[in-house]
Formats: sequence, C-alpha cells, structure tokens
Amino acid sequence: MSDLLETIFPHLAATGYSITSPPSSSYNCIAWSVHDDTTWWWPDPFGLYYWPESISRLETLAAFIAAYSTRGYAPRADGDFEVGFEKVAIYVDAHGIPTHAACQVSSGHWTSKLGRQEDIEHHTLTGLTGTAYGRVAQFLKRPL
Amino acid sequence: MEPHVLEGTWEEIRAYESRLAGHRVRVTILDPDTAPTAQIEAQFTVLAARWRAETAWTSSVSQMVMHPAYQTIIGMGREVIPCLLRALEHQPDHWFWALRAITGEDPGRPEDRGNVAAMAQSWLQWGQQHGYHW
Repeated sequence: MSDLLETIFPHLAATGYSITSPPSSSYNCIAWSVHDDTTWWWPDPFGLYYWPESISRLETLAAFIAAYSTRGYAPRADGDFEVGFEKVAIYVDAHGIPTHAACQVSSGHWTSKLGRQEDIEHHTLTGLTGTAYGRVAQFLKRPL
Repeated sequence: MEPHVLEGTWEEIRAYESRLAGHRVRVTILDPDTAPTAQIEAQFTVLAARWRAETAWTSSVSQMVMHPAYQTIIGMGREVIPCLLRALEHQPDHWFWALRAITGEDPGRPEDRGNVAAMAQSWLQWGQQHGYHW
C-alpha cells in the first residue's frame, strides 16, 4: 500500500513517514486528531455523522475551528513544537474547504489518519500537501 | 403492520403468505431489466470497488458521496438496497448516505452518529424489518 500512498502524497517519501496502524473505516482524521479512534466526524448535512452539538454543520474552516474549540483547542499562528501543548493542523483545498487534520506528537512529528486507510506518523506537514489534501490553513493548540 | 416493500420473485413473495393474509397489498410487476439480477450485483461490485479505491484517502463525507461511482449506485434505486446491506454486513463502510438517499429513512440512533459499526447494525435491522434479503 505504501507505493500507492506515495503516489497520492508525492512529498511523503522525501519528508519521511511510517505507517502506524491497519486501515479502518471506523474513524477519520478529525476524530484521530482529538484521540478518538471510534467515531467518524464530519458535518454532513443529513446529520448522519458525528459533529459536536451546537456547531454549524458546514464544511468551512470556521466551523471546524469551532468544533475543535469544544475539545479545548484555540487558534494558533504556527505549528512549532511547544512543551506542554498539543497542536492540530487543518488542511484545506483550493476552495478553502477543510480536507484533513493532523495532530502533533511528542517528537514534534505529526500523526494522521488517512481517510479509510492507515494512521501514519509523518515528519513534516508538507508530506501531505498536494492535490489530495491541499495546504495547511490553520493551526490550533491546547494545553496537555 | 407498517407499510413496507417486499421485492422478489413471485415464489419468494409467496413465502410471506401467512404474514400478509388479511392485509391490503399492492402488487407491481417489475420490468425484468430493473428487477434484482446478477447484472445489478455485478454493476454494484464494479462501482463499489472503484469508489473504495478512489476515495480511500478522504475523510470528507461530501467527497465520498459525491464520487461518480457512489452517485451511480444511488441512481440504481431500491434495486441496489440488498447489495448495500450485504456490503454493510460483510464490512461496515460508508453506505449510509446512499441508503438514506434511496429510502428517505434514517434508522440510526442519534447517539450512534459516526459510530460506523452501530450505524451499519441499525441499517441491517431496518433491512430485516422491511423484508429485504441479502
């Protein structure tokens, strides 16, 4: 699967990564970034999937920031590692629609759940930039 | 008895004879080209494989359900419901939007939102209650 992974994310091999779980359809990147490996989070308009109560079911960066605020996260300017805090990076596509989130781990690297595929630990956020996930548009942090 | 749909060959419908006795029913003769056939199964298998492969990396429910293969499956209508239920039983996956779009129903419990295994189980129970076989 890693050949396909590196095709979908062409910067990944050069920037470094490792696969850290088997594939799963049970949880996604948003859930994984808040340490939830049992739930698929998404603000779908039918309301079939989990999204925090009272937060708009919109695919906007503002709605995602609000959803993370329910877990104690606040906007932050950068993704530099800070002792005593954990950080999340939200990726958006060319239209500004959130596509993915990654969570920083204690090594300063990042961990991501890739859709219905595996979790990976990637050394840089650049590793997942490109056609599939777009670019990082927002950092958030919360105290550990 | 709640209104519901039974679908199959006449011989399969007759298996419900004792349950249906005394109830008002409507019988619609389906066009053989649109009745559940091996062709529906084969079409679903191809479309589902394409959808799985081409959306494997996305977390976005919108991207998953707007994929052309997924939309084609929705367009197959009620004929494809047994295929969707069988797929859910085999390995819970994100067929909930398709089932919701085709049936107009959502049997999932509010507390199970996003719990893929529980959502799948709710749809399998719905399928049994509505007389589907898969």
